[in-house]
Amino acid sequence: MVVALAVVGGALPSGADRTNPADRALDRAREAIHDYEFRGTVELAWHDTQGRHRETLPVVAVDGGLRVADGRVLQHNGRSWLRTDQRWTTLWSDSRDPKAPGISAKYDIARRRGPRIVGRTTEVLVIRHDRRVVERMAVDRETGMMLRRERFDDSGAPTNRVEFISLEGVHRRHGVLDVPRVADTAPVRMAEPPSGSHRSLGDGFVLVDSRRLPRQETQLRYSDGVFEASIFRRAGALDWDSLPSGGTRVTFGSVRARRYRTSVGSVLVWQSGQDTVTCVTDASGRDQAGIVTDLMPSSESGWSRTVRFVTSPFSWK
Amino acid sequence: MTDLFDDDRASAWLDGELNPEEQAEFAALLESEPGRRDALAELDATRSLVRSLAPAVPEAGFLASLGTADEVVVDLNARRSQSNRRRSTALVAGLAAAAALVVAILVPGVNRARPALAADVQVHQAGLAASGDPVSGLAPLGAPTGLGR
Repeated sequence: MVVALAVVGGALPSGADRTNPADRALDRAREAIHDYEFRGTVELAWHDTQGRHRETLPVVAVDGGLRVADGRVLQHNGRSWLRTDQRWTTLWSDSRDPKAPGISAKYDIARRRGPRIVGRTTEVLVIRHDRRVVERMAVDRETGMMLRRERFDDSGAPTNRVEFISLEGVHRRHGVLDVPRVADTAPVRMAEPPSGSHRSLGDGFVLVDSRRLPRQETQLRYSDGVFEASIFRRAGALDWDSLPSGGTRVTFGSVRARRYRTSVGSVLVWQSGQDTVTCVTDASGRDQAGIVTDLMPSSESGWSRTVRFVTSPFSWK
Repeated sequence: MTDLFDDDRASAWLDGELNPEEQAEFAALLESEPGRRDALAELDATRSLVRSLAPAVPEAGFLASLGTADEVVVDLNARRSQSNRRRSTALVAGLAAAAALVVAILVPGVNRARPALAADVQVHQAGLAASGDPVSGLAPLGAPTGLGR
């Protein structure tokens, strides 16, 4: 049985309506981590230029928090920490951004009965854009946990998947997690985005958050309801030699970038004027092109081009 | 028809960044036009020479006295309207290029950005997990990204 919801994309609202089933599913998935305890294993699968990859990782929900990879990553109530050596690095210091657009603003959503995953009954939500499936979510009917999440590229081929392959001990949580303190160096939400920031990018990506990072770097987060793109900007010309190996060269208009495919999606890095820009996103190649193109300097002067031409040999690689 | 021997493509060839189809095209070009091989060798030699230069520490005040390339451009651009347009244009371009060359050769590393891609991914995923599903958002952080630091 398929229940199609006639949700038609329109202008992207901020603080969008979140009454559609897909947004409710994400909200329930977050609440499930807070409300339930369990032990499980998730499998990550993704494609890059080297072929297919798979990784399995232990995940544990306890006392309202989530521990990933034997506790190397910890999350509680939206805040996240990463343990390196004996130290905790705060990755995120607050919870959901209320300005994120709802999924139905751009996408169509269909709901249907899902397969049994790790012995549990699921409901599947199929997210489409222009009649093309971009994502499928399988949600545990009882707890709301997201048991499988699949992403597809512009051609319809699967790109990324996260799926529980084992799950046990599911029960209501008992205690309250003791968490590390939030470090002073954590990304801090800015009251206003930097001047000149794009309020929207590409096909419906809306600016939902801006953060100040250490070393005067900034992060702008854009969302279209399903996919997100973080734009990190640093002062200075890109030192191409400092980049890790393994990327591929891509060109968007006049922008020459390097792209890495990872388990989280794509990482693009390029030089824009006097700055270096990194884009981390799970969006499709078509959406990436729209995002990067919109971020191109609107009118690079002939003189800047001259200087860029002369200095470009020193930034080759 | 597009010239397959542009700067970007030659650079990517030297860095092994062309995809198999592009590699085949470029190899065929080099095979059919020997002059291109000379140009490629020259380009490679130039890059190697520049990369072999030891980092130089500028004297105090050097950068301030030089100004940024853009500042040089702006100042000289103002002069352009006061004299012969073509000669000034060449002069400005030459000086801007010279300034940029001086900066690029003598002070490598100054005002260079070295993005920590793995850290960017971690922060991005943490934000994703805060606003979406925590498991699918954070699980990738437990796996190697291949992006270094």
